[in-house]
Amino acid sequence: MSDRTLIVARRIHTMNPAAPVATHLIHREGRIEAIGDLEAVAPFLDGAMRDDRFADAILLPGFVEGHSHFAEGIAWRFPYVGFFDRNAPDGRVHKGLKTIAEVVAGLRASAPADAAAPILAWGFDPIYFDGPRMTLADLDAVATDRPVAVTHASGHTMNVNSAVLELIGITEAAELDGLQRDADGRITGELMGPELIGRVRRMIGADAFAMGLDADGIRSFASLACRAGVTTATDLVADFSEGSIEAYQQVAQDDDVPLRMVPALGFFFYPGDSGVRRLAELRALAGPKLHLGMVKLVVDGSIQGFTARLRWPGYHNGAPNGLWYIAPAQLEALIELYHCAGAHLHIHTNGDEASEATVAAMERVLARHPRPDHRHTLQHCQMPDAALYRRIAALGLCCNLFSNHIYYWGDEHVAKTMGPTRAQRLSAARTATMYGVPIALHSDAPVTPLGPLFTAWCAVMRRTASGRVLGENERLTVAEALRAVTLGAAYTLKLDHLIGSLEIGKYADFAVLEHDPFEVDPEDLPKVGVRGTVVGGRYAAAGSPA
Amino acid sequence: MTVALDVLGGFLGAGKTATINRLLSSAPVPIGVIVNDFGAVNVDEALIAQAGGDVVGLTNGCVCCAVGDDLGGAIGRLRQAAPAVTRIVVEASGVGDPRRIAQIARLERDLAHGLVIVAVNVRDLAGQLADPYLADTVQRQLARADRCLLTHADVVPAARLRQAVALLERLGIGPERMFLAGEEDQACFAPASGASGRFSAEAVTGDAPHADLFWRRHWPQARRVTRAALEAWLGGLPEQILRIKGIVSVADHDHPVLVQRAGAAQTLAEAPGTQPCGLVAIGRPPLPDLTWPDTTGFDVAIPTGEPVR
Repeated sequence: MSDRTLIVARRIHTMNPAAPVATHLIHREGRIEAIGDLEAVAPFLDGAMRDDRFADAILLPGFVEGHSHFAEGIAWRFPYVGFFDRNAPDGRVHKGLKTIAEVVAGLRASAPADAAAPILAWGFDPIYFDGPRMTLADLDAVATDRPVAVTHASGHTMNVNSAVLELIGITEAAELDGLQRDADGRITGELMGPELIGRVRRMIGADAFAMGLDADGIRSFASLACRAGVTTATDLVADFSEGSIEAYQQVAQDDDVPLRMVPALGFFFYPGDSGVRRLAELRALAGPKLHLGMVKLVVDGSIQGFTARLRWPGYHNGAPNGLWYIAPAQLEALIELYHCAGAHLHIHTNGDEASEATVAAMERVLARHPRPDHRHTLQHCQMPDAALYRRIAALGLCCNLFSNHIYYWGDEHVAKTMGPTRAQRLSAARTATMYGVPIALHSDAPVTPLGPLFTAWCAVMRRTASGRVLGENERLTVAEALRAVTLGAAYTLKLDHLIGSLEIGKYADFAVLEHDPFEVDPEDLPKVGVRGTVVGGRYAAAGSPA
Repeated sequence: MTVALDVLGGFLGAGKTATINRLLSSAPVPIGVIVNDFGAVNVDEALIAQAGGDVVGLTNGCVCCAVGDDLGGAIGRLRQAAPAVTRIVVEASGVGDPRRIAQIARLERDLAHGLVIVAVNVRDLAGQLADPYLADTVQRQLARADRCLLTHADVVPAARLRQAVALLERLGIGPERMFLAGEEDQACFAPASGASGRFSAEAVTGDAPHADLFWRRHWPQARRVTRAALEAWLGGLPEQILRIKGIVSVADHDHPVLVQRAGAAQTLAEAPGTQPCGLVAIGRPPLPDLTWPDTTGFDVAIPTGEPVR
């Protein structure tokens, strides 16, 4: 067998409990033929090529990002104005902008050459700024003769300049929910809510979150994935349009792109049962690097945007309860529709009332239509208490927890949304695990950066941006957290027989690391260097063009 | 030309689509409607004058299109397809806040403020307001409604309708802003100048403002009637009778007949056991001037109109 390759590494963590550590691995035709020590691979060495590139490296199963959006790959066509340093697909580190003045300067510097083109930026994070919020005047200082719109990191809020207000028809007299005003009643230029933001995007030009997906965008995403050690990622709200499907296929057929793709059909693109038909039409297009069959439902909004549905007593600061994006009765019908069609459901529930309503609907649907091993998954699932986790466990649901949220919004949750006590159970990985709920951990990129080692750190340390520890008792061990971002996530995608651990017969997908994450101080997990990834036996160095 | 824009909201099952269908088929002047799901609109094939793109024109001049994900775009397409239409009704989603949709829609050029109308299923309202998952969503929709269109009033007991009216009043919606779906559609969707529903037009008198919103009458049966005569009599009852129920002894059958009628739905079935015979009717004002033809065999009982409690 001429295409056999022997890899010898400093250490291989397999995530296979029967044989957790190895040094030698043989792969052939993209799959692992043998793994263990020299003795284990000896019978396969004849004619094998020896690949020594990883001799000083640590190999882990390629990380699996169970909740991301390929729009991250598109976002970098637009200026990033976030608070934190962030890696672009080309490897450049974009410095975080720490004041409004820096954001204004950054926007001026990044204006497109076409003087009429809008300036559209993303990732703005004013919650970390001291002092007054951004105003119309700030963005008018960027430009008055062209539209300027800055989407916040959460995706739920946008700051605009006067030119945008004029274009979309907003006047001082407008009676308009989501149009923020200052103490004197003047419009600040901050807009909230999907209707208003959607109108801005339609009127002044599509930004990263409104543009259709294309192959270049996926390639950019794959570059980011490679730098983060991710070999399989979800595109968790996909329109499954002809254009998107063509882009997935084009990328899937390119062996040089180091990414397995798992898009999920967004239910809201498909009224009635047309989503079921679309899934059936597309089934034949699936392959080793493109997995189809998942459906995404979105039940509520976000906690930090006060649009998530919380159980009594609601938001800590007294804000009114959030919004149902799917009414509970409709949710049950949708779950039944897709469950009975054999689809694999991934259901966005941020607030605990949304999680509870979903569990209640799921209880009724599963009682009528039992299906072993359905692996329907609650996505984000940030707030369940122990009792709700017991119901989740009883139904065999999985939870993909938004651990990055602890760092990025944990302080907000303490101060405003959940209060200091409920915030302790944000993404309660320990409680979930204790009751046997299969878990994964995610970034929701581009909402927070793709980076499973950082995500694992969040679940292990549970530290907020200000340094406060939230829910010490909910911490995972490093081993548990690393399992959750590999085999755990693979399980929630029903791909654990192919990826997530390094075992004979599974894909040769690895994260190639400089240091051993099991040995470093847990504090240093995010600093573990990622040299690149191997997907189906092919090595992609971080930073190599996809 | 300035076009007035109304938004029709209401929770799932409120009867929005049925209302849209009635508006399309019986609008006195052509209107445009923008719906969530075109497939749900029941447009008779024979009425479709032209179907181009996603805007469908009807022979009566009305036009209809689906909102998709771009309300502004849908309004533009509809206005382009039917420049003569001066009124547009937008159907809100079941969980959306119709006032918010109206606000966004009014950012379009040359659109005048119309009405925010929330359809309320009187059968479901009490349950929704008692449901912790739904109460605030339903209240939020109602809180900023200009008018309410009460649906399914013809298929519920009068007590349920009355309860719904009381609940809406508690939410600050006075009877002058309530309209009955069907017969008061046109008044409900009429521009705001002074139109008001029957709830206020005829009922607000005396100390108890709604005591005479509905009347109830009981007619005991003294003599037997033929089934054919009974059916003929039931068929001729005036519209304002919402519901009629009772057991009638018929001359040509061994068993008495159980009569149940709610709105247009009527059943006659064999009555179980031997129970007192007579009919109870519930209706809206005015009290009908019913003659009980004694040729049918009914004794003419003196009707006793009493307010519903």
